[in-house]
Amino acid sequence: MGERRLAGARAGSGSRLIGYAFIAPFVLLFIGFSAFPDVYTLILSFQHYAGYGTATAAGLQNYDALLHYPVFWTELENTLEYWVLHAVILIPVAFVLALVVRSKSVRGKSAWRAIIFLPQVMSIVAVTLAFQVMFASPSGAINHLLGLHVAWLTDFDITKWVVVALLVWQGLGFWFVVFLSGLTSIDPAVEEAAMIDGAGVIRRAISIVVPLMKNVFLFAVVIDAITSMALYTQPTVLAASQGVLDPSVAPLSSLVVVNLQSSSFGQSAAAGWLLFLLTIVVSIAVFGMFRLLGRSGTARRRPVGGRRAGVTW
Amino acid sequence: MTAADRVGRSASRIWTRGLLARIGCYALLVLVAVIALYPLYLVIANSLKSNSAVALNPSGFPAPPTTSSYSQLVAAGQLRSFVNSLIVATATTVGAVFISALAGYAFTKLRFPGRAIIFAGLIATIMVPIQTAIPGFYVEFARLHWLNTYQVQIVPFLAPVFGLFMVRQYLLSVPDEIIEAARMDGAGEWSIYWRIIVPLLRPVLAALGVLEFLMMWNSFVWPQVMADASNVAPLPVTLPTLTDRTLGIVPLYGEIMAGSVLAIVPLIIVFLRYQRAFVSGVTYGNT
Repeated sequence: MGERRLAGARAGSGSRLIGYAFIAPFVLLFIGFSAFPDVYTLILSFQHYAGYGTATAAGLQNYDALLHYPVFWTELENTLEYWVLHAVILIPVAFVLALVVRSKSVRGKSAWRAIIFLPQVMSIVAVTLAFQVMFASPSGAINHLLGLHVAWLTDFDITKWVVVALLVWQGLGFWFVVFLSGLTSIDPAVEEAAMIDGAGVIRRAISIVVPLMKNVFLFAVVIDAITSMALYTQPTVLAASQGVLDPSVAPLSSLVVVNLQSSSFGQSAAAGWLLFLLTIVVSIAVFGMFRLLGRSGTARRRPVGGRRAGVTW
Repeated sequence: MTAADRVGRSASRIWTRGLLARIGCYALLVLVAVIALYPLYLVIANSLKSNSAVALNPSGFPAPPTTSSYSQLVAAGQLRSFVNSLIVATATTVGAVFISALAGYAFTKLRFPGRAIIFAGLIATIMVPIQTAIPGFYVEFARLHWLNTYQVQIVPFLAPVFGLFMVRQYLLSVPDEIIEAARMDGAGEWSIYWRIIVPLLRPVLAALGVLEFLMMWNSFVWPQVMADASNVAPLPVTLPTLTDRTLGIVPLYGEIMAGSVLAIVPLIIVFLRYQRAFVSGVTYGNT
């Protein structure tokens, strides 16, 4: 027994080393395979490098070149469009669905939850290819079913909306579950009090539930914005014909890949860092927007406690 | 009008209103369910048609169903891509869960200098898009001769910051007394971790495993750039390239849909069996 105690005391004092030992695999992998390549990309972005020979200093030339391509601005606009258009549909619809599934008039909640969540577990590339079959023109499933002749995937103004539809279809289940779990943390007594005061369903949702869920909305909009800036797979697979993606539907992230494939490593790297800067700017903008909204109007009420109090960001 | 009348009438009005609300709710849910499931139907139905039948009749039932697309898929070597996807996703999931659990525990419950700063530094990188590191990686891996291997698809994803975050959020609600008591009893640090912490972490590790597996199963840009050779490329990279062998550019949709069944259906079966881990993955990660 005495010996065991001694061992315990020793372990306690040595826990500093043990702490480092426990984080070592994670931190070393992170440095070697995240931090180092990120920094190395930054260095590359100030160089001309073709994949062989030596790299030469380029100053800001790579950035300058990118910003002078009309394609850069088109693709930046595309990424922002995909983000805004899908978010303004996705987040309200996911929230309403969560309200509906939670409401007393709906039975079989777990079955509905499973069905709405299902697209989330389907392979993104596979469903994107399914959307290709759906929206092919002239003879896709939708045109076939409805007797239409819409050039969904070749008229690029329409193609953008197909991409948006795909993003909404895919993301709905995720945010629906987030909102559903946020709703369960609201004290039912608050709502019951409002019900006794005669507030209807919609009034209760807008003036009680939404302000209480403010942090969940902030979280949803920020994370959705961050992932939207890195959007690549859906438009690339959906709209590429013969392996080539037209810049008028391509997202900004494709500049990284396209430049890499043509061995302009410097420009590819500059595109990567511009994408990162864009993500930071957009996140700050979203936070700022929420702060403005919070200062005025209905969302002034403080969220009461809730399980989200422990979140550190 | 008597008081009883009035009560009766308003009760019936509430009842009608409730009925209308109920019909509205179910109508919306049925609509959403149809939209959510339609692409799945389309994938399965079209996988049972020949390539040319998909082009002629993309929306209907297969008449008669044929497995020719599946045999062509096998002939095109796509089972290899399926296995590649499985190897990469499984290996990454096992490794990432193990490594994040260990580090997440240390960052929450062990004390050592620099703990807060290192953790904050890791969390801060959550905003870096995957594409940002690709050029640097590509040059690094070209020198290491790692391009077109399994490890280039596995090793960079073994330290997911969101996993660290999930484990930490979960452990914050576990009282330190449990660990202190075990230490008083003379348990070594490793056995505290392995015998006490890991069993406690099981639900969050299941959820993390599911998220990591889904992320890897879906990865596209990374293998497209780093590992597109057919002996190592995963299914999402090879599926869109299934085009007519002689005409080159015409996609073979029967085959592509059969491959999509391979990519989609096994995960749906696992999902239906272990729904809780899937759904809680979303909420652990985000609360």
